[in-house]
Amino acid sequence: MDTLKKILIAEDDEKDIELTLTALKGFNIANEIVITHDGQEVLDYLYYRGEYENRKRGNPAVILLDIKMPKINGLEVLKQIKSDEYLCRIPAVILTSSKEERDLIEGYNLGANAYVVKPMDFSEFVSAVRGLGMFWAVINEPPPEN
Amino acid sequence: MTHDNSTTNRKTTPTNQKDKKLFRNYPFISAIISILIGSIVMTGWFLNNNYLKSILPGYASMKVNTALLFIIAGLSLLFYCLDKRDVKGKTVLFYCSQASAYIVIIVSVMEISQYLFGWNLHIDQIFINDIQTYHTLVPSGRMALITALNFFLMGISLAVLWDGGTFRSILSQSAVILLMLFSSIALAGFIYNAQAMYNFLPYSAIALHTTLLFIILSLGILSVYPDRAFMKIITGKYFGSMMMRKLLPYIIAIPIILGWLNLKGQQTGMFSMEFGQSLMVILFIVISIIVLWLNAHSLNKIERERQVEKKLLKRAEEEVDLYNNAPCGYHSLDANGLVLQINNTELQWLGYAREEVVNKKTIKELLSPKGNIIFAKNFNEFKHNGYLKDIELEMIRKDGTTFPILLNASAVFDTDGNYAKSRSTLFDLTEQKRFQQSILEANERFSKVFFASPVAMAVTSLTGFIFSDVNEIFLNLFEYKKNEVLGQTAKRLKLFNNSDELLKLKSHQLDNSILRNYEIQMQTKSGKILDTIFSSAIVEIDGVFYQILMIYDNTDHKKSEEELDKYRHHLEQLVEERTKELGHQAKQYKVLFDGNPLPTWIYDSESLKFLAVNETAIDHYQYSKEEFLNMDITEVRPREDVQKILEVVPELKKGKHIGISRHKKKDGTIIDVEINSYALEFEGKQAVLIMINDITERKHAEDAIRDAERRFRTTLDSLLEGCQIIDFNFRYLYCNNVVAEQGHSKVEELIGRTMMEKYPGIESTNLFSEIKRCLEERKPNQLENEFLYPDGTSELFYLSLEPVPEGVFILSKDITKEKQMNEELKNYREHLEDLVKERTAQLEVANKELEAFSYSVSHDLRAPLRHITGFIQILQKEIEADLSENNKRYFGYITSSADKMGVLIDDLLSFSRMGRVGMEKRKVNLEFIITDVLNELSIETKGRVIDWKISSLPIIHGDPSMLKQVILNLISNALKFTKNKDNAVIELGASITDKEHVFYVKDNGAGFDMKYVDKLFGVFQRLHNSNEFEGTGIGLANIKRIITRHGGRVWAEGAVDEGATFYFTIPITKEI
Repeated sequence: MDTLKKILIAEDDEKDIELTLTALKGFNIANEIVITHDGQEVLDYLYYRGEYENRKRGNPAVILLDIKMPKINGLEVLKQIKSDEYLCRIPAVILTSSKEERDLIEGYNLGANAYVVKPMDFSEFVSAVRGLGMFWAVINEPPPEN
Repeated sequence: MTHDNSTTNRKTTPTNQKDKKLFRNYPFISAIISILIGSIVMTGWFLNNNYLKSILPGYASMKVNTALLFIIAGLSLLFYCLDKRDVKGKTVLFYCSQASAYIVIIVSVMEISQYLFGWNLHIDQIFINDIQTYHTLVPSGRMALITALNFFLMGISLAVLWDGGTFRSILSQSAVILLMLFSSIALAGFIYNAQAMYNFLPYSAIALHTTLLFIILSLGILSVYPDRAFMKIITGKYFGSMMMRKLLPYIIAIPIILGWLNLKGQQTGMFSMEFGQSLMVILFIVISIIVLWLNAHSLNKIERERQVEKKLLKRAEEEVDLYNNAPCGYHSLDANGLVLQINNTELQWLGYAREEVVNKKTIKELLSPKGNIIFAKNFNEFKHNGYLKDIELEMIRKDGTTFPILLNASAVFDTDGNYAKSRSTLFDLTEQKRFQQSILEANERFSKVFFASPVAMAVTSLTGFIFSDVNEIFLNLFEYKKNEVLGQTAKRLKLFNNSDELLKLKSHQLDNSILRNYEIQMQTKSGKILDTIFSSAIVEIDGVFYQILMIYDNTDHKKSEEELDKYRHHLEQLVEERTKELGHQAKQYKVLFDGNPLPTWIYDSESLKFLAVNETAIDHYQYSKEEFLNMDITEVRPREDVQKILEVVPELKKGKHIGISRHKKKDGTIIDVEINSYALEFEGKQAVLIMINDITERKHAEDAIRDAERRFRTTLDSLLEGCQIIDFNFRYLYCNNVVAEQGHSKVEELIGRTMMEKYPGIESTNLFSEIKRCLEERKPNQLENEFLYPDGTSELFYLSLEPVPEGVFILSKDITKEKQMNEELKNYREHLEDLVKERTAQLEVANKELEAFSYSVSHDLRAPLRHITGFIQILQKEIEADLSENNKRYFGYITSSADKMGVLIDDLLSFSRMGRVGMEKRKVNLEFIITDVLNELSIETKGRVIDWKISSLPIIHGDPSMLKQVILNLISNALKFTKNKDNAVIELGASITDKEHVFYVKDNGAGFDMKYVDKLFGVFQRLHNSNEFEGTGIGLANIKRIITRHGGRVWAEGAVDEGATFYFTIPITKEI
């Protein structure tokens, strides 16, 4: 495997992005991390549209999706991905502050591969994000791409 | 008394009918003759044939106009006859007839005026110029003056003929008779060859056939109405008319013939004028007498026949009368049983009118069902034998009642021997049956008396005392069995101790048919001697004479004398009764008097002394008979009433009276009595019979009833509800003022009137039919009724109908206002529901908003906190080496505050979720939940000494996870507040009321001040600081929320340092 797959993060809050990146950085994950700031940008990335029109071909190893995002929210993005025959096998993990039961249910119903609530405590947050990165980018065998 | 028409109607004789036919046809025939002859003469004139003109050669010819008028007159009569025959009213034919008549009048008047005024109107030569009869004085072809006169009369007669009115008939017939007279004169002239008689004026002769034709036509006119005016006498049915009809032809014919013969004889010289004259007179007399004799003979014969007919008619009427009014019923039936004839007596029995029965009803309809069965049974035999004898049947009246009859019938067979009809006589057996019934009843009474009598009784033969029947008492007294006695004689049984006694008895009996209270010794089977009182009477049973013995055992002297008297009296009564049946009427009355259950007496209407009193009176008034008979009637009355009674006595002497009075008994008590008095003759004196009915009790009772009624009435009058009593004719018997007000009326306007009179049209209302139903079915009923007043307003009433003996009692209450209030209340309620719906909708909106809010809280409030803690930690890490202790502590504060903020948000969210999430209720076993909870809390309880007191808990109905939350929170609380206690006691228990389960969790922990009990269950309310006991203060608020959602209540009791008890309830539902 000459190129590591990318980790796609969808998060509108800059502070959260920084905290997430800080957590992942400390763990030295080699995968490239792509940051998108709303649902629209996520889909542009996946469909090679807009600024991502000429990006290098290939799906990310995992998508970390926040639910509450401008334009198109996380659950709508999830719905779109899971209904697309080329994208549906990409592992999608919901990473959100919401503990709401209905979000949980809807997320899993739409085919989320995992649902992680961002812990309040920073150290817990760090270990959770690291765990995610480790599992999905390193341990997990991604679906074959053709 | 009408019977069959055929017997009462007189038959019309055939000759009469023939005459009538002739009369009917004669006018028609005469008209035809007139037209025919007129036409022949006309033809003669046109052909100039003298034979046709004059018929008899040498005589005057009939003139053209005469012939024409005959034709016209004939036509007039012909038209009239045809018109009369065809239809009623005036037809074309009638007008033709009238027109013809007027033509005849006009022409004849013109002819007459020619003669009278010497005019020549030239009407006689219009058709033919008669040169032969040309005369210088009279223009040729002119008819004779007499002919013209005759035509005038005929014209008048024809013109007034119409409709046969009395005056017109007289006028018409008078004219015709005058015409006939003129014609007769002319005719006589022809017969006797007296020219002057038909040739009134030398140049104006009437022709013979003209004369005859006048007579024929005149008779025709007279025959049109043979029963009017003068013709009435000729055609009448009485003797005078009959005589006239018979004699008229002779009276006309005889003188004419005799006169003619006389004249001819003299003219031919057969005899002299004197001889001829006397011969004619003699012949006239002789022939007249012969004719009269013959007529008288035939009239007598007719009269005789008439007399016979009259007699027969009278006989028939008598027979019919007898038939109809015979004391028995009579009817005849045809072969199908249809009534052909029936007499009045039977009709009266049945209650029908004759026309309802004859040819309408069959015998089956006149017999009762029972009667029909018997009739059917006997009918075949009747058809075979031809008679029925003494069959008892039952008939049914028009009104449906039945009565017994005795039927005898005979059959009538036709020539072929088939049954054609029946004739039956019937006797009403009602009286006989009743009589039989009364005899049967008397016998039954007698046998009852006989067998039930407390006195020994026996029936024996008249001689020798052979026993044919005995009663139980007799057998007991004489110690025999019935079969040992019957058929035996008294002698053989040795009933009489002394045979001399028996002889004595017999001799007594020969003297009197009744032997009464004879003391005699008798002997029982075992030889015991009895002193008896013996009575006997002779009775006839089915034609055989028997004697009845009554034996009273007098041996036993213990029985009181009074009782003995009573029995004696009884015996006497029995004897009297039998005697009464033997027909002694006087005694019957005596029994009536003596045995009357009402006090009865007779007093002398002059002296006012009592003449007789009965036992009841003696008992009732306590005077002895002797005392009574020495008193007068004023002595049994209160002193103040004596004057009054003396005034009334003269009235009582006459006839019957009924009255109310007061009497005084011997002991002075005054009684109210009802008196029936009857004036009669008693022992030769004017007397009055008085029957007294003591009505004191009744009067008291009536007074009591009246009092009760007054009380009842006062109560009803003063009730606030309307009370009324309606009788079976819907008449107001009673109503109180409230009813009158409710009916917009007055009490006195209602009482005595019917509902229909008071409120016309009420019959069609529901209220009326309900009242009717209550009256008929006698069932109570309640209803609400809207009563419409005549002025169009209405009120709503609650009515309670209750059947009472007088009709129906109605309690009415005006509930219009109540109803209105209910309506308003209902409105409010509905409005309230609307409000609730509105509020619910608003709440739902608010709830949605709250949901959205808490959703964003969970997302957005947490993120900043996370950022705070995240960056603080990163910051602390980076600059840790340079930080003072104080700085470190501050970092710690920021972190822990942010953490705490996070917990608060989580709690708040869970609390809000508690209020929103759906409940899933099912059966919950709280004991399992507690076990679960204790397991979960095992970490916290580890190392602590806790005394758990958990009693058995019921199964309840609720959301298991929510209830678990409640238990968890409560137990956590208890653990939390007992953590400082060395020996914590936590108690869980439940009790039950009829509506709910009550649970409690009690601890001996820190407790609380009851002052703040209100705040206990509020969100984030804490009674302890968080350093002492951790927690956000959301737990109890959650408990309250959950329990409230289950329909229960929560409360708490406690004191500082003395522990707390938390209670919650769950309602008992049916599902458990």
